[in-house]
Amino acid sequence: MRLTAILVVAAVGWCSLAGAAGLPELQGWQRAGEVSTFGPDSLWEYINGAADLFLSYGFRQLDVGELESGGVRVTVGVYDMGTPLDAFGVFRTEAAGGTELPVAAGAMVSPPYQCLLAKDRYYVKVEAAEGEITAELGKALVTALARALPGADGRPEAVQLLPHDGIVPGSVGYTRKGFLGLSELPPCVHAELAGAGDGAQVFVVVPHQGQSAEGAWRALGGRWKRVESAQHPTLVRTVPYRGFVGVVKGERGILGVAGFASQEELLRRLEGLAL
Amino acid sequence: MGEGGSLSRRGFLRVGGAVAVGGALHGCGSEPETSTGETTADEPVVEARIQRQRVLGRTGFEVSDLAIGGAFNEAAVVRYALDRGVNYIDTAESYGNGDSERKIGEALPHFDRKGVFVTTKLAIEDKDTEESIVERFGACQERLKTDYVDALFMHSVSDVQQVGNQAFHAAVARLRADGRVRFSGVSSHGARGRPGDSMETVLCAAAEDGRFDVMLLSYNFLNHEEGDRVLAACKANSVGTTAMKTSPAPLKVDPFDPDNPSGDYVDSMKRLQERGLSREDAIARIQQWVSRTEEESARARPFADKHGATTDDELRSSALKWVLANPDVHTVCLSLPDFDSVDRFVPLSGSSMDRAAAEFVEDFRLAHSGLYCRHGCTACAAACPHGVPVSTVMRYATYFHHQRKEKLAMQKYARLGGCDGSLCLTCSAPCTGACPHRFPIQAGMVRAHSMLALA
Repeated sequence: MRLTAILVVAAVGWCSLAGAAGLPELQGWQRAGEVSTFGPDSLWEYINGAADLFLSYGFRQLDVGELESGGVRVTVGVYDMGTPLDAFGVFRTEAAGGTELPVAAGAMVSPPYQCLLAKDRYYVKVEAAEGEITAELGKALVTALARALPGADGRPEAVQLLPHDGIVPGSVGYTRKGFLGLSELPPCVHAELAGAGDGAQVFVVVPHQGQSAEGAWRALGGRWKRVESAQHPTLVRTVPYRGFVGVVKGERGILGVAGFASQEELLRRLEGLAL
Repeated sequence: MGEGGSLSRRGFLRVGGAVAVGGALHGCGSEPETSTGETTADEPVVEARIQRQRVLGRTGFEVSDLAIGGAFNEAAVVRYALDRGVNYIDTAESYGNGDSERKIGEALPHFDRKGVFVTTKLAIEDKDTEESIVERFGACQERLKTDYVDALFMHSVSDVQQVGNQAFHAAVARLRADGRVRFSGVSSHGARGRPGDSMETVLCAAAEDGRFDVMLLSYNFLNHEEGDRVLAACKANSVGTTAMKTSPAPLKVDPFDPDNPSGDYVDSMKRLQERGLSREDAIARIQQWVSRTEEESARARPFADKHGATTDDELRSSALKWVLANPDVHTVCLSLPDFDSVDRFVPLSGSSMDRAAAEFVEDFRLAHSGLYCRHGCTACAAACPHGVPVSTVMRYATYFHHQRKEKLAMQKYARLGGCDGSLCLTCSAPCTGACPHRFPIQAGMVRAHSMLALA
């Protein structure tokens, strides 16, 4: 999707959006060279095998070009991921191991070479081509980019489905395919559970592309085992090296926990989720 | 799964799927249940393992014929593959912005480090220095949580000049002296539509350079000529080889109803209109893509029907077997994103193709290459001033070349009494363009004649 031109009111007045090019114009930065555009069929030409991650999250279009200011030249790539959740999912994968800033849906600065940003359906990757991105410069860049890009600030709505308590801060993520290595699991938002041991996670199924929660439940039921003794409809299975995983169908949809050595502990956690 | 044997064609094409289904349900359906429905968290039942290893060129390392590569979501999947005997891992600095390397780093401690060949890749630009490359490699090493990387690759090279990049070679020499890198390599797809050099140009130069020990190349039965030359250069120089991109085009495409689009077409319509196309233009764009893909699939369908492959997965398995059968490909790199993928593909380790399967993929290759003359077709007959029976001659060429019935083919050809490809040698070729399937008639007939004529 082309980024449409947005007139920034004077009060905000920091950045404006270039219409046809799809690359934000930032005050104090000059465009250097042309903007290139890549779609799903051509993303491989630009980032080779790294394209797999983006394609698995429904990548739509990349607009990439260079900006320069004060001896620093950066490459800015704006990835249209189609939905805020997909942009968030890619950001959380690529930002793993870094310190996140509370900008838009998430931002990270890794001096001296890189900063990342997720804003609505867009994931932005800035890399130093000449000079360095300091912590201060990086923070200013992601802030300016977040203002320039259209869409809503804040994390995707689906993230709110996770329990508010008992989650390790900064561990929230979204996996579209193969969460826990299980091909049958629909897309999930997930987070690490605090105080529950290494590898314990909580997750919520986010039905995708027209699939209903009931359809997702039926699909899992074909491969997982029903626990008849549970108070709520519950399915479980084991995951290689990870112990037990289970899901419960509740009013908020399909919620699950994973990474428990015993089914008993797993079921206790699931009942807590379902209430 | 062993090599050859009495497995029927239909059987060999389906067996991978059957094992995958069994494997994917392990740890669930097969566990005993108590009266309360509890089960025990057993370790996974190992159903299939790597059956064959090959020596990775002059590295001397015996690699599994199947490798795991690309981006990794879950360290447990890497561990699962390694537990089944996969011992070659491909990753890169750029995959998931380092997250793929991290996942490997989580899995590696569970294994004897000397038994796993770990590779990673750095994209090298002219601006890179020895210092910057060593620094970037250090970050890779940290993510991989390993004292050494078995092979550091120059990632996706499309300029043959880069093969001699001094900064890279200096960095590798330093890292080797420090014991942090054992070997070096080059990966290439070629320029792929952008200015640059072909995969063959790059990798043959790299193989002959003398400083690289492993190559990663794109290789499948549809476009293997270029890859064959790279493999030959690697063999001549004792360089290890890893193949990627082994799968061909799909067998079929989902139908598109513009008034009631379904599946991915819904998303495509929406996306194209968001970009400013009218609904009609979006429909036309999708219909063009569907038509093109259907044409390719239609060329393959008779051969798929003939050989019993009805799904893309079966075709993919056949394509993989074709590559596995080539002893000059030391390992084949597969993207295995989940446990089911590992269960599906590991059973194919050690397999090779029987004669019928090899003919199938050759038929498919010809269909896709536009070099296939449909048996019994007379579409070009009116264009030939000499009345040469083109599809008959090409059928005899098929007997000769694909079915190895050389004597029969030449006998039948001789009985055409001169109304054959000999007339095409000096003809002005009014048949050019007469084939609705784009078969190059004169070229095909001249080739057939050279094959079938007694003198």
